Amino acid sequence: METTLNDKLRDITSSLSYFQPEFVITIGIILILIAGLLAKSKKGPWVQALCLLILAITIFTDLRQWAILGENPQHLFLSMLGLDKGAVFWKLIFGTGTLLAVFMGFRGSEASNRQGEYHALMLSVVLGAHLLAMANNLLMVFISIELISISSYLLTSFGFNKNSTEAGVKYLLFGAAASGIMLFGMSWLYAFTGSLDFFQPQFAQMLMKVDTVPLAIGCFLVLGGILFKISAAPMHIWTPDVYTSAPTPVVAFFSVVPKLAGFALLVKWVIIINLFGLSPLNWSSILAVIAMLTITIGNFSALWQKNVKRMLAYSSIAHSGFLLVAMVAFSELAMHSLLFYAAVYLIMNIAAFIFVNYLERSYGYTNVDHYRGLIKASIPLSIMIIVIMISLAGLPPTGGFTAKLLIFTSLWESYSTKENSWMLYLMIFGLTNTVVSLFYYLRIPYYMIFKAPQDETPKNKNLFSFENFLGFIMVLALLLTFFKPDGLMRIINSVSFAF
Amino acid sequence: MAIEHYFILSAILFCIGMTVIITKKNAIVVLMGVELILNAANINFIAVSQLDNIKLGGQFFALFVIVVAAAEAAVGLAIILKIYKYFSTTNLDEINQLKG
Repeated sequence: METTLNDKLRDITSSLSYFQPEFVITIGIILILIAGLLAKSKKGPWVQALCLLILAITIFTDLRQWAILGENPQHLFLSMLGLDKGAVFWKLIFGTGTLLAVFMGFRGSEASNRQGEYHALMLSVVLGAHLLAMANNLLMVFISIELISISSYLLTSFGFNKNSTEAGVKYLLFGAAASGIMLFGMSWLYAFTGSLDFFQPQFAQMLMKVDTVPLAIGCFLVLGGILFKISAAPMHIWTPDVYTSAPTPVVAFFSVVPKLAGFALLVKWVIIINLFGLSPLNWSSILAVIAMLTITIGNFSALWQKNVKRMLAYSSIAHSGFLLVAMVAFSELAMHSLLFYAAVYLIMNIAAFIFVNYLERSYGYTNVDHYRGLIKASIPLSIMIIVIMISLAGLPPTGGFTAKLLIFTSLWESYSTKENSWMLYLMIFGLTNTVVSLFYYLRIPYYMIFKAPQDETPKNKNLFSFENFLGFIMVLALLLTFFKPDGLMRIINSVSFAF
Repeated sequence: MAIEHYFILSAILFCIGMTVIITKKNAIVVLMGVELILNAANINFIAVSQLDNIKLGGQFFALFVIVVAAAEAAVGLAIILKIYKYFSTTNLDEINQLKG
């Protein structure tokens, strides 16, 4: 008994050296809470600056992990967590996404004395996402998902008005029900296997002995919770309300970090429930149906939206569907294109929200209607918005096109090897839906260029702020990922997946 | 007591919780339904945990679930309190400003 205890303690201490990013974030949360109390009466973005510094250190430590990790995954904390290059890539995406969202700042009626809470909650979502990307144990999955969810409920109601609170309560009730259902599914899987380490081969071997119906129910219950986090088809109802009413930087953050964290988990989860390709259920076909539903609901609902943030909410649902296409294809190439799509999605979505936020703050524009004749006010701003919209729609010459091309190529390759006809339907469906999405994405450029301004020409306001410069760089990055995708691709190709 | 009894009890609890979530109009009652679902899962975890005496994974899972449920209830009640301030009701049918 003594030796095993000794071994366990040694394992924990040796794991700590691989735990630096999470360590930095945890200390950062405490520091920010203290700084928030001290800076309450002071003017100036001290807390924001501290938060940016912490995130920069986190990204730096993530990069160091990327450098020192070899091919083999590291098992940390008695194989509660597993660290491989894929997890580190996801963590880098989460860190970057949060860094950009924090740059957008938090302003509003009650903002001055809430800076500490706001940034601490942002960091705790990132901590949850970091843990979720590495989670190898059902307990770890549950805790990190709840860490993300509970902080998100609070962040949603940080608008401190009627709508934002309503969105908060809707998100809370849906989210609590979804995580309860997921937990119940987990308890079934624990009953089937007697083990919580879902990434061990024994777990899958035990699952293979289970009858089809209970296995399907257990897996579906857990899948439901994950689909809620990525806002995919049957569980997407909360998304539009939350995106419309939460503060815009929070929305930019929600559309990237918690959603992609869900995908980081889904990749692992689908590997497990496929049971090395021996599963009695064909998960490729099931996910194909979910992806079709998600893309269709997202695109067709977005057509009728007047509010820009609500439109972008439905667009992010549709993008979840496109990311799910990679899960359907499910090959090495598909996983690489999933990571590529995630990186491009991060850039274009946050860039879109940066400019939506800018127009909301300095012009008071919230509806597509308000964007009439914007090109007369500022040509550079309009051009940047047009590039982002083209990229979201997936047209050349932007990174959005490259990402969609890669995803559908991998789907076609899987179709030609596996001959699953659902993949073909999904392919046709996805491509026609891309055409549908053009209608609403290009409505914004159409209003900006061809419609006359409503009453008077909008005045040219000061465009030179740090956020807009950041948005400009992201637009350049979108163009760069089209013309030179090989740099990003080379980084992604060094990530290997275990099938 | 055979382990099946625990499973049946937890399945019944889950169904009651689900029914409460779907049919009840009051936000606080819906949160109570969520608690029922979480406790249904807890019963499963503890019942299965008795089968492996060494690991106790399920019992620890149940402890964590209780802690998380408390945090969730705290956040939930805080948000519902805010809702009551703005809408003077916790009836979910009347909280419907956001549409579209």
